[in-house]
Amino acid sequence: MKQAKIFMLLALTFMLALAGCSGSGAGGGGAQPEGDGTVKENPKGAGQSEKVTITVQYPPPDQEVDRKAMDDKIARFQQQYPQVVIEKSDWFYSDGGAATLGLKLAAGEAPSYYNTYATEAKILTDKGYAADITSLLNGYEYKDQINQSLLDIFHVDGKYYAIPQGGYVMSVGLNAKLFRDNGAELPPYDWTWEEMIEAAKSVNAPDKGIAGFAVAGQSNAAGWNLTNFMYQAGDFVEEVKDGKVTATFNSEAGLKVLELYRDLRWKYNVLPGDWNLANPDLSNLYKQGRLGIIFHSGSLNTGINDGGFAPEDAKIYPLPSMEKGSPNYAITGGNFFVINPQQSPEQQEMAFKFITYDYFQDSGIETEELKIQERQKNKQMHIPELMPYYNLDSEYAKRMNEMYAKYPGVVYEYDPEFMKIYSSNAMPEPPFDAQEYYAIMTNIIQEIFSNKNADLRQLLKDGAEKMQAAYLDKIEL
Amino acid sequence: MKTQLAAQKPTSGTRFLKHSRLYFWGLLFLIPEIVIFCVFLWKPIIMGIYYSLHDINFIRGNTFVGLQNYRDIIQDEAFFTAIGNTLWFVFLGLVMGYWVPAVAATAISELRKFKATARLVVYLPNIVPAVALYGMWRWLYEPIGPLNDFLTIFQLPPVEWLTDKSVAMFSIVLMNTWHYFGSTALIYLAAVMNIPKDLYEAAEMDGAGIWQRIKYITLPSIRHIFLLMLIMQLIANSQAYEPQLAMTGGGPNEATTTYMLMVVDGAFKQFAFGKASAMGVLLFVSLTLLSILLYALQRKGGDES
Repeated sequence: MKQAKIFMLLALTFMLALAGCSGSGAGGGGAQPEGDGTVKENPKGAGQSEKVTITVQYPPPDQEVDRKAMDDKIARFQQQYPQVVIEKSDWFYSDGGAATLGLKLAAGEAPSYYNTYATEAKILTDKGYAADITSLLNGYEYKDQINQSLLDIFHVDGKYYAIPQGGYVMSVGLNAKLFRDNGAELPPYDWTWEEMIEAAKSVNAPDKGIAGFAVAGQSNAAGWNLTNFMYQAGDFVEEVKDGKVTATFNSEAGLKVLELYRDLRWKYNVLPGDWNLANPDLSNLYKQGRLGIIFHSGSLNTGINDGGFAPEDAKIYPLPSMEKGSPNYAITGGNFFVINPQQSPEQQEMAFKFITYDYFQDSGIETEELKIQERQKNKQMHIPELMPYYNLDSEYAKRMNEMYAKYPGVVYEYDPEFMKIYSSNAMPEPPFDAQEYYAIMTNIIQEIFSNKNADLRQLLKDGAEKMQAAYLDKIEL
Repeated sequence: MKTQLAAQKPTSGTRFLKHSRLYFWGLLFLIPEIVIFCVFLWKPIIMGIYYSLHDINFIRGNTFVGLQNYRDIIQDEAFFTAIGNTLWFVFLGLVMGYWVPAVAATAISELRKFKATARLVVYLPNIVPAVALYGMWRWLYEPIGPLNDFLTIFQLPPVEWLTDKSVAMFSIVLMNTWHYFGSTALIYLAAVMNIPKDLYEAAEMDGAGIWQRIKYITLPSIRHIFLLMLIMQLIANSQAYEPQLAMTGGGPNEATTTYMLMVVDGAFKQFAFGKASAMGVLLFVSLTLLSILLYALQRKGGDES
């Protein structure tokens, strides 16, 4: 009898352990994926009681206003859709969140939708980690009023994969106080590379730990930053020719950009001594007053709200052009919502409705106003999106601006001269294997920054050959 | 005849039952460990091998690709750079850090006073949380930071601690040594404390000085700890990626990209779980072989002694 007990106990243990070992990895209540990436109806989500459960991203405890706004949104949404059960997830797609997305999906624990960035469009759509929302978007009554250039970022092979939250065209920030303290004049908005270098030199003080200029030197952000200069120099990195994608950056234009980077580091020494940085480290330097010019689209918030700069001291500038009159190309970026493809069609539909619930509505303006009042209370400024999800010439934009006008000195007012120039030459990211290209360029940048005598032509040649052989040659158009 | 023999000789099944009865409680207490090891150790290892033979996609499902992931890795130049960097990191760890805890432990053991204080002091760096550690050392390594200030006292030029390709790995090893030597020193110290006191007393009576005591008593008595620490350091440093990720992001130009950093980047930035798993399997095999080799050497050394 005792022996039987022992055996039963051991057998039970191993069964439990094996059960743990044999998990498919695609657990949870998600829909079962088909081989072609489509999704079957999920009995858990849209089950017998016709209830639909969606999991929404819920702000962390320190963001009280956002939490209140979300609670309010959930209550209003459930009033209109009482069949929807809403669960909360505190997971966000951020620098760390990107690392856990695969695991969340594997465990069936990813929320019904998640935030992401423009730079992630390629990898998320390639991997099938973003649901095709074309039909949902086509049925949306305000589709035509959504900013098309933002929608286009997640428009792949005729299908849409994301709803924009807001976007920007790459820009730089200038610490005007530093310029004033050094008796230096601010450059004009339609500045050139040459003027950018002169401006950087005028506030540069390496012995005090103050750098005139900072561009990302680490992670793929470095390659991403550099690509703006590539475009300005006239090289668009890749081209499609005779049904083949070719890397073009081993060019005279590419060489000019690398020479610019080399000179910033070695000739003018205007970069931070510890140049191997990206955000948030660069932002930290900027708000400490240790950077004259920062290559960062969120510089206003960093300077005014995080760094305590007076609004007139945190200047935002369009990217420069290579020479007077040439286009100041700048890459478009932004924040997006992507719907989890593991969810059933009903859940996906409800997630779409939840995301867009306040879009183009009075409630959206009210939520924005609450955020402004919170900023006001904290003696901060509200920085409106440079490229909101709606078209700037839409009726909704007018109403939003009327609300903004009620808060002078709280809502940041962009200089009309800046607005005229900054987005006139907006450009998308390189269309093929952008992240891989950025990684290659980051290594090239780091070689230039760490080796005064780096052979620029050879670096470009090797980089382009690697890009071609390892990635572009494998693309079938 | 055959039946008689069988009756006399217990079968392996009955032997197992007999042992099971004897060890019932022992086995019972082992159950949680069996479950934990199976779920958290052996499952990931088996899944890693499975993933390494597949193209992993959590939405569309996995596709069997045979050895393609392994072929892709071998064709990637960065793979060999990462191996080279990891070996360099391991080597520097041995040269710059391996001996430090043993020296500290021996020195503390020879102290007549303040032994407990010295133990605490060497252990203190170990309790600094990783985030604070990296923040602190990045500040120390700043171009106009304290270390370069210190160098200027001796009229030495400033060092680009983290942005010079030939220096960055040294800087990381220096930081790591400072952080970890205390905990290892305590292990050595425990071993030293276990050496019978009468050996030292006898040696002192025979006129042995401090160096002779260390050479002829302390070091031979703790040589098994040296080997154990060597194996542990080799394994830990072969898998290191956190300091590189935090201090340099693997740069400049891949100069500090270690093998594990490449694995982590592959899995969690590029979502190439198959390729990353294949690299994990190769590391697993290499470290297993290394451990077997070192233990064999230890056994051989033990037999000879």
